[in-house]
Amino acid sequence: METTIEKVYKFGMVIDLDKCNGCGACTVACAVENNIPPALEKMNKRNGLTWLNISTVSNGEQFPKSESVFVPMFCQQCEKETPCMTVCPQNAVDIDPSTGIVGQVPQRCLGCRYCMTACPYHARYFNWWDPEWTEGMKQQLNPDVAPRMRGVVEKCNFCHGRLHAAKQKAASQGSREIDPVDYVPACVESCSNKAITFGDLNDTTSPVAQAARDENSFRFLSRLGTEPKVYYHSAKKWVRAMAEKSLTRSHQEEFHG
Amino acid sequence: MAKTLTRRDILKFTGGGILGLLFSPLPWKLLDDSSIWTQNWGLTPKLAHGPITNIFSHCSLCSGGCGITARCVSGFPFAITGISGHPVSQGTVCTRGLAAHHMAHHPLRIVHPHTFTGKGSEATLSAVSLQTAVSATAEHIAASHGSVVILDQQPGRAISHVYREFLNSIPNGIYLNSPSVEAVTVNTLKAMTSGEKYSYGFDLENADLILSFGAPIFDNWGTPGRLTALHNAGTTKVIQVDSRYSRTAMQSTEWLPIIPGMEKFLALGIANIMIQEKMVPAQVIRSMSDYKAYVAITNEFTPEKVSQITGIESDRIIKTARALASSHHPIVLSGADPGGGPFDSETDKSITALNILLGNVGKSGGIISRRDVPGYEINSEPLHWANIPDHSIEVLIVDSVDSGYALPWTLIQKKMLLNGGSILSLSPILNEISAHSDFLIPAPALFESLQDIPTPPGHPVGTFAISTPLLKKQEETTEPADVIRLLATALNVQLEIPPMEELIKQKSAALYSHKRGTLHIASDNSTLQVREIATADDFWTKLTEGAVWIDEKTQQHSQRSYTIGLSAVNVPVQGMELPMIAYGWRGATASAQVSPILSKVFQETELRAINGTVSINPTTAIQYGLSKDDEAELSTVNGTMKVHVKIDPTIRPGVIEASIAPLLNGIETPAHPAGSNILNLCEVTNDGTWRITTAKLLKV
Repeated sequence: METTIEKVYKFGMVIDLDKCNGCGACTVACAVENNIPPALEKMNKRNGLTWLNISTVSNGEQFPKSESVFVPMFCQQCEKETPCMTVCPQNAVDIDPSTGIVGQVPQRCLGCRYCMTACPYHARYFNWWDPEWTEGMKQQLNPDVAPRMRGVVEKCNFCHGRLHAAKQKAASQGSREIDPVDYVPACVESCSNKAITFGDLNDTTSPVAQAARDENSFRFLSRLGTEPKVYYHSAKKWVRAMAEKSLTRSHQEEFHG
Repeated sequence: MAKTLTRRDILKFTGGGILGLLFSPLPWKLLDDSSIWTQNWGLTPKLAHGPITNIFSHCSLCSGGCGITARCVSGFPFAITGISGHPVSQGTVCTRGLAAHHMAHHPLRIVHPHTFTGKGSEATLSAVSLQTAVSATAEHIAASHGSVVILDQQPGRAISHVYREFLNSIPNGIYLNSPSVEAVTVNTLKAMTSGEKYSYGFDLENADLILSFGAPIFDNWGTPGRLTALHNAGTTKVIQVDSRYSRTAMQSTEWLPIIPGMEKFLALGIANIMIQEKMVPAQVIRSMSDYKAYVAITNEFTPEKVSQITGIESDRIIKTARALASSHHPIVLSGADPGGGPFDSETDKSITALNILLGNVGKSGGIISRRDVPGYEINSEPLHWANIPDHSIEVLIVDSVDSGYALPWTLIQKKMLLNGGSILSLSPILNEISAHSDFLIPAPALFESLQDIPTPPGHPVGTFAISTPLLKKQEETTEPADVIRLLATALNVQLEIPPMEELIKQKSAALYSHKRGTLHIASDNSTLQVREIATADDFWTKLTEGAVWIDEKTQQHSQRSYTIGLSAVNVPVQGMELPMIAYGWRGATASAQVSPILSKVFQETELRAINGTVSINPTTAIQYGLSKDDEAELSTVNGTMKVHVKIDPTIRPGVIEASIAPLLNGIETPAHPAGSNILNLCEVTNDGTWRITTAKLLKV
């Protein structure tokens, strides 16, 4: 018997910023799942490797009225005019039409970093140095995800190792659809506050599609028209208002990249 | 006529050749290939091959008792997740736990006994034999005039009983605990109670209001999964009294921003309102032996006065007191920030007494009695740092695990003999304390040996589980129980200490013999009555396969009487020039080690400030001429160090918040004595705490 996964998915996420407490479990689970190395001493927020970066944003008020939220930022999986794909001279970026996931092929990447410049979300990371783990930690790498080498760009791919495992399981069971329980990215699995909802946006009855349609859900920089598949949610007006603001660059970043 | 080959022809040929080559693919291909070769010169690791398995176990990184599923390749764990339906941790693992399998491979791991030779900056770490380290420590114990102390960082384990037995068998032994972030309220309440034979636990799931005085309940407190489940349910109102906009303050229903160090006065003010407005039940008044003395103390703290002291508006204080008194199931929690150490004992008493006033002890949704786990009964209370006289410890043995609270080296220095004291560290990884020790006998690292997981502090019912080994033990590491046995032998002390695994198995058998409670089976998320299990060996096997034992809830009673024992309280004189508040993350402070992958949290994102960072309000920054990302000099009575300045409007003006984060890129050792750890700039008080220190901040 031959089985094929025929369903066309549009995988996406909704992140409830009111529930996120900045515990960092998602970013650590992501690093463990995707074999992202720990930082070298010289690394910082600008040159480090975190597929899932988290920033703190304040409401601009003064103590004690000031509030802040944590904003997890990673590849927003742009649907249209995907900026990183358009500029890549190596054809190292592609969109899987059956899942909507923007993929990155490190073997093709020549490290020009055009995609990093083009990405409006600063969600792509360059391997400035060779990846380094202690000897024992090398034995503890995820066998389903190849580590990347110095000189290439990498980014979130909604844990493609887990997607392949779910597809294989579905195929082996003669199913033409992935069971949603079988495909959960590491960040979603690790979030104890249940701040991240993941699933198929094409399925209008799925929790993620329903959450995306909520009046308090929004996407960052939606005016660019790239149709990101990552939504955010907050009941606070000031949080929703930041969606159309560009990231503020520090004086140092402005002059030194 | 043959053409002569001229010099010009050779140059033309060479130039043409070079030009031709440049337009051919060869140099570009060579450039590409050499790039690929150098990228892959063995620097990108190859992945392990082999079968993938799931092992159910428990994490012993802290006292939370979380159930874990270790995904393994060829027997090596490569990822850790929770156990779905786990009755203690509710299916989740904390941020540190997700990377706990890395701890055995930490860059600062020690795999055989060491000593520091030389003094100060000349000191170097050199290997010694186990016999040398044990003999030297035993000789020092035998000749000691000061006290011999074992610091147990996670009390209540099987090894804790071994420590107690050993110390009871020598004349000058003292069993010392680091305070627990979670247990402080229940321990304080137990000390106030007479007529209670059991321990106390929090019935949080049935509470409708939690008033937390600084306890980081939504930031790794207790068993993190239990608290996040409570938060996700959204049925319990949480009021957080906190001097800073902590993660718990951020996630709570209401935040009461209090002036640092004034928590005691708010608790007394709330008590005063409850007493004045006759909200205290008559039965409660009868049960308090020193009620009159307590009322006399609280009388002074009117809402207006407390408002002046704490910086919280008087109407909010009145509203909070009334909300507490009108709740059906309120709980009041004490417990300060893990980076800054515990509250002083008078503050803990003032806060804990509110539970007695509310009459919520022994009631559903309050603080309830919890039977001790058979084999784990504790008959005497340990001492804490505040009980140890200064410069009285001659030999200090520091346990191998972390308490959750930071532990400043300056606190240990304050308690050690001025000359001649020695420290033996059992830590498997070099940390702030072991780096100052005389001898290190490393214990097996996390997941290298079988460990017991006793009831998490503050849990409402007794629990018992096993952390099974996932990694091969390093040959020259030694179980703390074996170290104590060797010390006892060297000192001619008669003690029967079985090997660790045997000891825990004995505890399991003692527990099984009571035939009570249930086992939660990890593999199929089912529950089994203990009386249905045929033998003690079967019970043990199930525990080693990741099951957790859960006790039955005990019958609650009201036959208790209380003595608050509060001393007269002096109103503080305010006006400290620039108070520095130390803050940290439970179990990930400057005295602990974390997986190197935690750089994602501390170094590569803005999630947690690295050690060496101070945060101030914009108005404070203007006052001191500082701006974002400036380098500044932070000075306290303990010294000066360069710090990085962050500007944050959520911080109270006129206050410095100092991050007591782990030192990811190296620790302070005798060879590298100062300059990187803010924890050592904190001033340790006689209460054994270091929460607030007067500081100076100057732009470099």
